[in-house]
Amino acid sequence: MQSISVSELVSRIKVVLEFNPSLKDICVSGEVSNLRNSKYLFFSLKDDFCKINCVCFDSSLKVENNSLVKAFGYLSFNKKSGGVSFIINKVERVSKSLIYERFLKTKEKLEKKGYFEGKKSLPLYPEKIGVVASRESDALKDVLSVLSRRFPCADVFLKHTSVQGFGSVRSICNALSFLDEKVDIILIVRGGGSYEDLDVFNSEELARVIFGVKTPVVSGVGHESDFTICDFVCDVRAATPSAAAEVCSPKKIVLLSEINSLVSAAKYFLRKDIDSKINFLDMNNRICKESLRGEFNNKIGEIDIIFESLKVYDKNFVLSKGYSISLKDGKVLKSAKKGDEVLIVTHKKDFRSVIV
Amino acid sequence: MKFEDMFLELKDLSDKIESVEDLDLKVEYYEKIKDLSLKCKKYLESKKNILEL
Repeated sequence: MQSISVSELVSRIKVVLEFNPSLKDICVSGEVSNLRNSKYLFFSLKDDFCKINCVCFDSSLKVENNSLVKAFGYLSFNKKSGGVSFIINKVERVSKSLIYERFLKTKEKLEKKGYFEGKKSLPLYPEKIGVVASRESDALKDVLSVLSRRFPCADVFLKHTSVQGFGSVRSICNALSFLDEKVDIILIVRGGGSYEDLDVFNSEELARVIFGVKTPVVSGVGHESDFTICDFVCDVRAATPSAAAEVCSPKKIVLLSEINSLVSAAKYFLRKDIDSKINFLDMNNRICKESLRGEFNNKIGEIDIIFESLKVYDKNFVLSKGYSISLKDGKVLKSAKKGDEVLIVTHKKDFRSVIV
Repeated sequence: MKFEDMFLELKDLSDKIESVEDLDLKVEYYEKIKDLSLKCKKYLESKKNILEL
């Protein structure tokens, strides 16, 4: 058999698809999902088994997620991506999908009953975190990854449940009741999926259990654009499983830094106080020294004055003024008779003399 | 003692040490702050357990 190039194959497919009369001007009934509104409208049309990518170049057309529509257009084959798109030029809305209709009714009913009020506040530093999830799910992996990065010291208690299909509502309810009051916070997490996949979380029974538990519950179901009844009843709705883990966990690194700052501040205040006391003592010491020095100098002055006043009683001082002292036998002469030998002491010289 | 209680007491003591004037009390608070900060850090550095129930 002779081979052909990819380009040749793609060209042949394009011809078959775009020039086939049965694929021109067709009308397709289906449910709108994954609607993205940019310059053009991009979304999928799906039924229970299949889906097809759609593009609508008229962005003014009214298209809503989860609504059942009749779409008119033709098929287009993109040579570069090898993808088929249904190019839509007209849309007729048939109705909202049954699931969505039921979701709205349940939401209205539970809202009237007050199920969306009385939110419990989340613990700041949960030490025991309960997770309701499928043990094989990426959602659980994401949650554990975030927790190990942000707050690895918390114990994580996993209660495995099926999160899709028959029996999953009962399974999730049992898990919640089991974990209630055994942990500080409970996360219900599940990765993204179709609206039908996430319909488990629209259950009224689940809503009643979530509302009844005493432990705060965080919902992290699907992607940012997915909303379920579970999101409304839970105490906090997080956009994704990772976001749910972030909501309930403080950052370890921030806490460590805060602790270091508190210790540094305490050290600073203590050091400041001690320094101020030391300065106070130094100042007092200086004042005491100066005061003692002044007192000492005053006393010295007083002593000098006393010393000066005592000088008049000093023998040498008296002798220096021209006086003399007469001594007889080493004693001051008080009386004498003729012929007595006396010693006359003057300032400069002593004289021996005889009384005549 | 739970981490939350330790951490809140640490913050409380940190506020008190700033305002208290008695040096002896200040030293006592500082010792407690040091002790609590070590306990808090030890808890934060500990490894988690993942238990499937």
